[in-house]
Amino acid sequence: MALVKIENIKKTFSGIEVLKGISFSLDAGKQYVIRGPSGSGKSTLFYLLGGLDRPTSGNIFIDGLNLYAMNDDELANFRNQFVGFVFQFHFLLSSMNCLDNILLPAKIGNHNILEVEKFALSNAQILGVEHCLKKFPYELSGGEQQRINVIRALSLRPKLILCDEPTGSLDSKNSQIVVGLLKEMAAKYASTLVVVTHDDYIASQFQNHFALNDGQLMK
Amino acid sequence: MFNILKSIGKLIYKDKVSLKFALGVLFGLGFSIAVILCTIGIMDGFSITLKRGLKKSSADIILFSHTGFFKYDQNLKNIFSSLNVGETGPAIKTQGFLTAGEVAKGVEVNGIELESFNKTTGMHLNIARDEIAIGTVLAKQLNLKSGDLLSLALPKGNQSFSSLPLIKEFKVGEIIDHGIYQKNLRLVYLQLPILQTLLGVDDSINLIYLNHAKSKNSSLESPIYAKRVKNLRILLHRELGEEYRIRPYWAEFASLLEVVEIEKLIIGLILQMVVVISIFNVLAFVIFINEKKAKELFLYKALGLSQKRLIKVWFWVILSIWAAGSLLSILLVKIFNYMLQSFSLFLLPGDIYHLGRLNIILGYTEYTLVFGLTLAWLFIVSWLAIIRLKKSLLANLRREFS
Repeated sequence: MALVKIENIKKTFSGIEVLKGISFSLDAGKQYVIRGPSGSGKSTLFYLLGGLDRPTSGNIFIDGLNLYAMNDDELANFRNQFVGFVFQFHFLLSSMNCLDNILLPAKIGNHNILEVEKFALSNAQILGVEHCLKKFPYELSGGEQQRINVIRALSLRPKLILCDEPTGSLDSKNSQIVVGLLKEMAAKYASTLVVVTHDDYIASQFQNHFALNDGQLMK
Repeated sequence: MFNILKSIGKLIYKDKVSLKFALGVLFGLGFSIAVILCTIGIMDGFSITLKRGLKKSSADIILFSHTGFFKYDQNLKNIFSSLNVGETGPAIKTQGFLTAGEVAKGVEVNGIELESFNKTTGMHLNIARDEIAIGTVLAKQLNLKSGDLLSLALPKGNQSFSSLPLIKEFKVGEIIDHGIYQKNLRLVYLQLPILQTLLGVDDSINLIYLNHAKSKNSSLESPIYAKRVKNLRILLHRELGEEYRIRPYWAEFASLLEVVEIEKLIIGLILQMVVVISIFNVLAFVIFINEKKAKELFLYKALGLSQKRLIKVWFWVILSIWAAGSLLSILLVKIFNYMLQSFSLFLLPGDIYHLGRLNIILGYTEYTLVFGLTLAWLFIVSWLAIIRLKKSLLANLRREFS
């Protein structure tokens, strides 16, 4: 069953068409990789899928909802409830400790903090970073930071996990660990996992592939 | 909202540069508000201190006869009691020359009934029949102290122009402070019967001090009190006609008080510019944080913070700066007032300003007005910045995440 349905998406920046009419669908609970070289439009597609930007034309349906028929408030709520983001540069706030970073989506969406904290603690034990929770991000290694980032992305048990170059700043050993964890956790919570990368090795870890080139989807 | 505000607050104060900027903005706003408050407070302080000084040696209303001396008869007393008049104090006011050693000064001689004068005014005079009370400035200028002898030269009333001035010797009984330089320089007090005898006017007087029946427990600054005095004056005028001149206690300085009131309004308006300038600093701070912490703020957005809620957060931040700036301004006003009261640098030449020192007096109305206007300016001007923030968010979003 399709969780995400993309219909003829186009995106133009200053007269340059970055996405040139893309259509595809993603099934619920499956894991996908979107490959492509720099400038192919994969990051733009990532932000459109995550409701962070609006397309110039076309529609994206997620769980039957037309994403861009929503107003800003509804879209923000959608991002909070429905999507877990994992960014390339970890994107942990240095002003707060790791636990507070993990709890941030729960605080923004007014969720039950205690419940999320319990969930975060159990995942931190699974990912081997429970000792990091009271530490600040700058006290952690790159691999540990990315694992905290993964826990935060999963904290509200989203239906869709979007990862933008999740291993881009990690060495190969940590890259393998993080990709492995992402796949494992997504499978555990039946979330649809979409990883955007230009790394062929990371891409090879996934069965379902989409390739982007010059704003077009390559079969 | 509180959780988000707290975590965005952490973003600001955990960053040294942002914190320094925030403190600078806060101090700038606090100082600007304090400048307005001090200016208004000094003007209010001037008016109120002057009025207090005037009231100290006077009653609510002073009644003079256009025809000179008159008798305080039962008819007048009946009129007063029918018009809600409280205490009354018959008195004589005349001109004279006071000589001590080789120095002479023109003075205003007041013949008073001690008991009724002390009741109607804020004075506590206690002089014997052969004593005179003089003001502090006069005592200083003539180098007089209690117990010293001086001579008072008085005209012999209107009875005979051919009469020579009457010169009588008195002992300095009290040296008093009216709170107003001019009064301390010019006013002297004798017992009424003594002055009546000297002037040869029998039991006649030329003025009566009157208080409103309810004035005893009223605050001088209360508008109700001022209204009561004005109303009583109108009623007295209506009842007594043109024969008497009826003046409120502030009449002597009425034009000056009016000018100060108008100046207060005009300067208050002009000084709004100071606040507006400091508000631009607040906006600069908002824009600076928006740029410097763009990544962090966009993370909040990515994690589900809507544009509306982000704007609300900014308004709360602005409101917090306003609240802290207002509190800081109160502290700065207190410090400045302490300096005004304590340092000789801030002493005023009393012959020019009537008062020796300025005092900042501010009521709730002034605080509410200044804080309220600052808040209004803050919201009006910050709205423009917030709109700019809204427009730039999507562009920054692409820039930061690409």
